[in-house]
Amino acid sequence: MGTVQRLRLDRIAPALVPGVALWRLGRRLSGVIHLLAFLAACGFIALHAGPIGDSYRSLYHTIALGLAAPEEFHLIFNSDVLQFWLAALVATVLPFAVVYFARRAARRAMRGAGREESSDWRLAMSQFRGNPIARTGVVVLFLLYGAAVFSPFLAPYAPNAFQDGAVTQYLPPLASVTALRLKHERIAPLVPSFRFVPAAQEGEARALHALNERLLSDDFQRLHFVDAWHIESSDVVATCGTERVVIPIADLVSPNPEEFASTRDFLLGTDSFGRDVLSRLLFGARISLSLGFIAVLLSVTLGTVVGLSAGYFGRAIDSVLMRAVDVLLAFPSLFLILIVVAVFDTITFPRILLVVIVLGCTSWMGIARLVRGEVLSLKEQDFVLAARAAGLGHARVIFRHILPNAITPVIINATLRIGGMILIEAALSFLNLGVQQPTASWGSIILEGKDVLARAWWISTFPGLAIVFTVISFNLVGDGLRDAFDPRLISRDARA
Amino acid sequence: MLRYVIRRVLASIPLLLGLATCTFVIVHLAPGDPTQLYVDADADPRAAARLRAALGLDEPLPVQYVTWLKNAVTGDFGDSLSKHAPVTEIMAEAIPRTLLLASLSLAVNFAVGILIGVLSALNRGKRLDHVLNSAGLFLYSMPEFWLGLMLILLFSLAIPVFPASGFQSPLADYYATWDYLLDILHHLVLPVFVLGVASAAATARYMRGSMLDVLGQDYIRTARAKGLPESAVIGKHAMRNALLPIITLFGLSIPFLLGGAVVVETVFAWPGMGKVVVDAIFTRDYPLIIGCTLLSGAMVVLGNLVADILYALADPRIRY
Repeated sequence: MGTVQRLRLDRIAPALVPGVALWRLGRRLSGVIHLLAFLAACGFIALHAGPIGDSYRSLYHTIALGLAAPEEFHLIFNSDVLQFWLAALVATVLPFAVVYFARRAARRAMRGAGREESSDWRLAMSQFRGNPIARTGVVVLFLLYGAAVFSPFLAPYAPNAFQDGAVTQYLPPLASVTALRLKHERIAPLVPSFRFVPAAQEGEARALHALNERLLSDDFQRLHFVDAWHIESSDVVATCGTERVVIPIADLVSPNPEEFASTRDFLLGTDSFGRDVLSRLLFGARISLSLGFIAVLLSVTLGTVVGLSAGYFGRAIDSVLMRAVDVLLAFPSLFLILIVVAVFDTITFPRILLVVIVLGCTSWMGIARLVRGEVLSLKEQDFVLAARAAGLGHARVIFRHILPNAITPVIINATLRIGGMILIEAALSFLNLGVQQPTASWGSIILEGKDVLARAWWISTFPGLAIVFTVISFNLVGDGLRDAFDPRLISRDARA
Repeated sequence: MLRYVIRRVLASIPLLLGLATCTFVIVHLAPGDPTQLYVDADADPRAAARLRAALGLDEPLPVQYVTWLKNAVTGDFGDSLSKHAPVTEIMAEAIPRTLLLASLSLAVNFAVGILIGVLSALNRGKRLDHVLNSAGLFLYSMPEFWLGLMLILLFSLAIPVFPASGFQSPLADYYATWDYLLDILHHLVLPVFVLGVASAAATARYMRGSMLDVLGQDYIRTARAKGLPESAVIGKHAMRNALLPIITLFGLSIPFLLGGAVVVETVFAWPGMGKVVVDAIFTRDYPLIIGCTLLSGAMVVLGNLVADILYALADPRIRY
């Protein structure tokens, strides 16, 4: 009986717990890493079960309400809650993704022990995996993007939460502040009018509103930060800077000092409004990290289209397109970006979108030249000539035979560009032409700290460090990819 | 050679024309018009109309374009809207300062970049190479404005050795010539460091690669085999060939330098072109924006031209 059960456990454990199969196959390190990643993902979900559950409930109520009362829907819906849905979805997918990758790795390990990996792509990828520096870059990027996606769960405070008064302004890193916990919000929250919602959906709408309120409410509304306090009969008398504040004990969460007095930490300090720098940094990561990515995607698409058309069709198209590229390259690119952003800023158009489009549309020229060069050399090769001779149409030749062969250098180039794009976006925000206040992006936080550098060095310093780490990681990954795909290196290794 | 230079100069004319047209079109595609910013049209519609007429904004676009182009060719970019002075006058004041900053930065960039590139190529794979590479990557991945702020924090606020901003000390006009120049140099240290050293990291990368390529060539082996001293092999045979691609980089780095100058001038409150452009953008001063862009475009075209000519001069194999 016992042996039967053990046997069954033997079979079930590798299938259920990721990493066990890999461990069995001798890939111990890989097995342990997969197992740890799985446990970390599960732990993350367990730790943030409350907000994750709320996010799903909010998603469910939103869909229900949207289907039932699409007209009145916008009265209740708050787009800030989208980030919670995304974070909750990603958090849920994470453990499954680890299981999937562990299984794939185990299958590979089982099959491919003695098999020769021959294709250029495989060879390059194994070369890339063997590069410890590039691997570090990948890990750092994963952590950074993870922090950005999960910022709603990770950030200790809401990014724009502030409290007037001298207590929380310009706190240095690692500061702790005494906070008195209040029974009610300091300013009563706005309750939307449910009058316009059809009676049948009112319960739905109220539930959704309560959920979103819970997810988005900033902690600061129920706290009163003070420098010192003592009890005088039925009041708490507190000092806030030079001010003396009297709060009736009845307004606090409990009459017990151990329950109403608490401390709040500000790991990276606060800014001139008393907002938490760490929270702003985490929320700012979403903008800084995604803008660079999307802008590069746009510029790669544009550059590939232009380069392909110029290289493939040649003649007049080539001359016209390449002269245009020459002219655009003669602009100092930051000037061009500044002008376009400034000129088109008057339209009622989200500035972030404008910045992405402008960045994408002003940086495709290099990619276009690269692609054109690749296409020119590919066009004359036998397999393309054969495809043409076989009577294939232009579209088929381009998409089946030329593009797949020209895309590798483009991908490498794009990886190296993302870092530069993040730097340009930061510069734009720093010049106050990027995202608008009070939205946080790394560049705009640096701008906020610029004029108070002597008083509060930490505001500008930390977002800058975040940018440096991100850009270094992208450059390391790009360098690693380039080395891995460099045909000279591949042929040298193949010979060796 | 002369014929090649003339041909290259002629070829850059359509480039400049394209640049001018592009700027003009972008600026005039803008929704709304600049008079809104300077005259309250609700209060006095006639004043707005007068300003529009004075600026020629009421004419059809092609007519405006031809008029503007005619003036631009003769060096007249019109009057700045925000500063009430001819654009050329404002630029004439700002350009020397930016040129001073940019040329010093360019010199620092290439001096430091080439030195470091050669050093790390000669010590390939050793500790020095790794240290220089990592330092370069760090600098290369840093936002210039942030580096500037950190330097101000360190060298102007924590240890006050260099001034944090500006072009000269408040009373500098009363200094003797020598002190006056020293004062400007003192103000230049931090901005030049930011602009020059940050781009030196990129130059060093290219120089290292180029030097490594050259060091692997047969003629270097030949030079060593015939017993030349190492200094001659490196100095005469390797360096001179490795510098060729760097000349192209010289021309290419000018647009980046100008772009960087915008940011660095803002950080250090340096009263040059960058600051003029940023101010012009915030005040929608279209004539000034167009003038500055055209001029920097011209500088870029000129830089590429100079690089091409230098390349032809330096490499005897190139015959045009």
